[in-house]
Amino acid sequence: MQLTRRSFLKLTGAAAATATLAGVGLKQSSASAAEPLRVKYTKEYPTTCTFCGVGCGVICNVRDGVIVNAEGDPGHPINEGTLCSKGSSHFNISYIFKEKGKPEPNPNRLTKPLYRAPGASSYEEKEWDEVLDMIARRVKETRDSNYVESVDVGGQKVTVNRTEAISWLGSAFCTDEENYLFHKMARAMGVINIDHCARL
Amino acid sequence: MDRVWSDGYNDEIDRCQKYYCNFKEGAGFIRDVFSVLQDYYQKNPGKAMPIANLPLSIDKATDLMRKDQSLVFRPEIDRDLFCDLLNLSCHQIIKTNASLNNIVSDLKAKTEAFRATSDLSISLDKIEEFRETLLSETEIGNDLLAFLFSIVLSSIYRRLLEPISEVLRTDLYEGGDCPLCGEKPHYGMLKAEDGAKYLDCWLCGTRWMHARVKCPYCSNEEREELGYFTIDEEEICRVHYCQACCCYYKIFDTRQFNADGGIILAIHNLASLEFDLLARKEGFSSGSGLEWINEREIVEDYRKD
Repeated sequence: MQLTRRSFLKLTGAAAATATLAGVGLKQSSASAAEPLRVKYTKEYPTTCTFCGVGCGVICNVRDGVIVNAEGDPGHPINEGTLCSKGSSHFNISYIFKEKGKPEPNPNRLTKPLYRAPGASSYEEKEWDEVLDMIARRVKETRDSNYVESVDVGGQKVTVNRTEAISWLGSAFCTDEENYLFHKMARAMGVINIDHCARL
Repeated sequence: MDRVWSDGYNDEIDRCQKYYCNFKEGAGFIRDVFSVLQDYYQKNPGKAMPIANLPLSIDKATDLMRKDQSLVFRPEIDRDLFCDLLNLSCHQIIKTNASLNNIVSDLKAKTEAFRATSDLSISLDKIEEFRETLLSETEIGNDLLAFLFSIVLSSIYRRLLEPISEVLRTDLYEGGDCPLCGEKPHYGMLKAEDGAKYLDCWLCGTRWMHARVKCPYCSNEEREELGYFTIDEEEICRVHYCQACCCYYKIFDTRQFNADGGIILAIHNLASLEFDLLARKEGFSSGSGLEWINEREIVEDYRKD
């Protein structure tokens, strides 16, 4: 609220003889400036459970950058708010448990792409744009250098337009529509080894 | 679900006293107001007769629900019923705090003047004009007026629209405004059974499911701009906010007391007014338009700052 000096004085004067909810005992004042630290901000992030191929919807509650709770997404068509015992403890993935079982955010949790160059003994952090470009370039190089336009079948030349140097794995954590598009993209590149992780 | 608060409000007030530490003092007043309203309806059973028929065919209404369009059905109400209930509520204010007698008597006099100059049936627009008049011409705070008008109007509209609210296909509706009357919600709940977010219309009591991570006012679904805050010891109430439209609404997590169905959220709203003040202090405004905060509180906080 923008409060000018004039409106401040006006309000101060007007407030003196006003019937308010506080006058009938409905207090609002405990939220005064004296206790600002009591406020806890939390954000809700809808995501997909990473445990199995069902791909249940999860809502992660994040406070100060740390996951404090994970619950089933009631609006998700697959699980409608429910989660199995593994999914319910999903948020524990981001923790390590110290002595006496005290949880602490896992310092080894990956938050950026890590790259180990050929021959190197350690990983280095990279930016997403850089690694995505690198992946795209390598996929293209692999595909181009291993592309087969036709094969000989019984003395007859048959057009195949494929590469056997790349395989593609779909994901249960994507929607049907996303997997459809991935499949189309893989086919367009000539990939014929296409599979999916859903194994229940 | 007890839409007309015919019973159960006493239990709800008791429950709220357990969960909201600032509600103890005001609980008696709320109990008295609910009690006089219920007594009035029992003594005058012909008042606020439920409207049995939709203003349009059931097929058309269902079609509107599918398109996330509200019926915006706000029938005119009985002038005398409204004025009687307002006067009864005012009487309870004086009974609770005699020092407010002069101010509240002025309100009662203006209510009688309103009765004398109005038609037998009055629209919500007319009532809103009356509220604006009271705000400018009396010493009644905007928060007390919000309480009086919302409690009286909702007791009427809940009775009028209960049969329609029961048959309306709200399960098809994903909008943010009330599917029946079109008012913007001020509070809702997380259902104990599955954590689904339901919004409650403060006016007609219609309850409908809404996406967990979505603003009911501007339909924003950008999760980085949406969130909620709560405070220690009272995590039952979450203040959900949207940084795109800078509005807030309150969600009561009923999983913490495991009670679905008969929960009267209007009482939880009154029991948790400190959250409204906190939301204003944090820079958010009421998305419903109901101002539960009196300006004095805000001025005092600025003084402290």
